[in-house]
Amino acid sequence: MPTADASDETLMARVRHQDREAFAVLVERHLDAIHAFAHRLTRNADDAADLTQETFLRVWKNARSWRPERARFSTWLYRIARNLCVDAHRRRREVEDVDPDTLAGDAPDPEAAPANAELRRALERGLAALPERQRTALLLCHRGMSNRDAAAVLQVSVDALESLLARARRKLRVDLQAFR
Amino acid sequence: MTQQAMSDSDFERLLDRHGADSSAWPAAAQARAAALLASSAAARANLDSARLLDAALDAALAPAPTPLGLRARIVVRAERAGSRLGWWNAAWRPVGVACAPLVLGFGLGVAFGLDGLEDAADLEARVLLAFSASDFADLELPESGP
Repeated sequence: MPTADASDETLMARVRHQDREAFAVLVERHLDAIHAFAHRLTRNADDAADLTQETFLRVWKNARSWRPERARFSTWLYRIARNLCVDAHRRRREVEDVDPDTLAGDAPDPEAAPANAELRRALERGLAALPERQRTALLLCHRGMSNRDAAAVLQVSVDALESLLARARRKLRVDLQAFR
Repeated sequence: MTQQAMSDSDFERLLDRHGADSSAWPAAAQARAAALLASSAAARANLDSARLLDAALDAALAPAPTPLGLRARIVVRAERAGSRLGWWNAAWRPVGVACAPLVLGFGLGVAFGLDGLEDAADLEARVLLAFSASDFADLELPESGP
């Protein structure tokens, strides 16, 4: 089977033996999704690129530690990305005395209408104030993963994942109430 | 069989767990939710609130374009890391394997010292001592026999 058509699992079996072609295909296949996820979590373009790169390098270096019977490759990949983003966020908070607006990420688009800009700032503040697991659950699931897949990434039951989502959405709906 | 009607609080729970996009709701809940929305102003208000949140998330979380060259950078870095691992394996692993008997011989020589062969228990303690002098500095060895 041509490399480009091979399943993630087949490619990973080759990456375990340092097959660079298989690795390049995996990077090509998952790069945009992992970068988008890292950008959602960090809200910072430079950090997202660096963490995406580190995520794939961990795959390359630690391919032998992936256990296909325990998790799908994509689940394992998202777990690595999530752990790296959480560590980076924690380190940043330890180093800097950061205010919530800064933690909320890149500056809002100045071209946006004032009402929309204010709504976005309120949302960014709300997201930054959420507990990490609630925020990650929401960022995984909003127009993205199914609740079942997100639960696998966070290593919780679907019910627990939906509870995280419910608390996050309820809190944010309250934060945005003034804009209705 | 008649399905149980959905309450306003059930609907709010549905929105909190699955968002405002009805296509993401469990199939079994969709008809009941539609019936509730037709009759409940509170449900419609909750749906508006959930839609506002989804729209705000859509705007805030619009995917950033993946930087040009990131894919190539990752593959090159991996190749370099792979090369280093390969060099380590190719050059040092055989050296390590070749040296292992020498290291073992040295350890045994230190353990036996000039006292000659001793019983097995004494041998084990002395080998440990030879390789971990600091960790076992306070270890009292049994007296060697005559």
